[in-house]
Amino acid sequence: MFKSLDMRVIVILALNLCYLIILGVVNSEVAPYVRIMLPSIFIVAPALFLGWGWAAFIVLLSAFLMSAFLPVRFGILAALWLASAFAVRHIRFRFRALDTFSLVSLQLFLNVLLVFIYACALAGDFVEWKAYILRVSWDMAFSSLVVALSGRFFSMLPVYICSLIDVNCQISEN
Amino acid sequence: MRNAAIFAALFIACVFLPPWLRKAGSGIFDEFRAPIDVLPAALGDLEKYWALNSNSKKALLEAGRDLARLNASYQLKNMENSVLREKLARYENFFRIPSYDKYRMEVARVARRDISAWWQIMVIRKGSAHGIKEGCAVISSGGVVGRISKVGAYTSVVELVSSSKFRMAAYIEGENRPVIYQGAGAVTFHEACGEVTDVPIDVSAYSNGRPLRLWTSSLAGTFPDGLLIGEVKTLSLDSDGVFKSGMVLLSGELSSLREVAVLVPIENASK
Repeated sequence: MFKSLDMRVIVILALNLCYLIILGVVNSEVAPYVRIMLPSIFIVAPALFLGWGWAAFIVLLSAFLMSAFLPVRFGILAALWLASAFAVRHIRFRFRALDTFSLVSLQLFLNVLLVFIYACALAGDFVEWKAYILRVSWDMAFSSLVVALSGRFFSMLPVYICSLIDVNCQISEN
Repeated sequence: MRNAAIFAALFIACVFLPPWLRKAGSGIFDEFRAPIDVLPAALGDLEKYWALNSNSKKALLEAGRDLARLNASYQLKNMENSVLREKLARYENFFRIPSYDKYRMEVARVARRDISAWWQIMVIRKGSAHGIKEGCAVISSGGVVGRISKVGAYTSVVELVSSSKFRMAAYIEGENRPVIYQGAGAVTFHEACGEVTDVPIDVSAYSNGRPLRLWTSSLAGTFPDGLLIGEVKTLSLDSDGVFKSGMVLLSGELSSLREVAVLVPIENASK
């Protein structure tokens, strides 16, 4: 499973860590108005381009880092992301062409689904339903807009970086 | 098949982690993540340092002159402060009332904020290495900021006063009967707010045309008396007809704070 540590793993892992930092900074600045939630960008690239062992490792690490300081049960977010990565990996050959429409659709569908699951699973401690639904809808809409505009970029970034260092990064059997 | 088996094993392990492993895992990843959170703030400090470093001599001289004026003013305030402290100590001694010097202030910079529909938290750049413990009160010049909910070695997580999980005893300006304050949680497009309950029926939200202020109460033990929580905007009679409840508008500073002070209890303070 972990026999070959190649550059693709390092590139995708480094990108996920960068996303973590960038999302943290951006969310910190826009905190009172919106929370940008982009779980799909951490999941799609490893699930499409890496073997299952490395994909699972990177997705789990990203999820654990993401949820470490959050007041949610440790491990639940990781399990959710892992299930998403497994599902994406299962259907990865449908995206072999890496065309814009299919990549953005995949990112968008996964993102909306995960945020919807968060909204249902974490609903509980709030004073007003209306305010909660309004806030979640607003966050989801804004995050979806970000994914729609940059979904292809997030999916293809590892491919571009790997091509710079002469490493072949594509959807393959293993 | 093998991949499915690996997935199933990892999934079950994540979902059914025993509590001690969850706690340990959370702690380890929290420490591992801390530098990631602190990095942008540290880079911001470095940027500010280099920006200041590139100032001209003239600008530095002007800043020095302004600082000298400020220093002179602070020296006077310091003298006034020490006289007042002595006076307070004498009164405390005379009336045998508990001392206010139960806390020391640990000033910390904000590393990041995370405000969503589910949680309102803030990560600060000081932790257990600086004596901070879970439950410590966090304040700023605008009043109450929140309470420490998780402590790492060099970072801590603050649960903001606007969080729906934040609940404390309080009292309304001009009243000595305690009320209960709770954060309102998720709000969009308007300032953070909270809810006050168990307000006596004879209290109204406005006094002389201005909204009443809500102060902390030391009844809960975490906060000292008399710190500002917010302004009571509305009060209406509850369905039981015994108490009133209403909305509290919190400080607008909450979303833009750069530095906060953590009130760390002094262990051997007089009770």
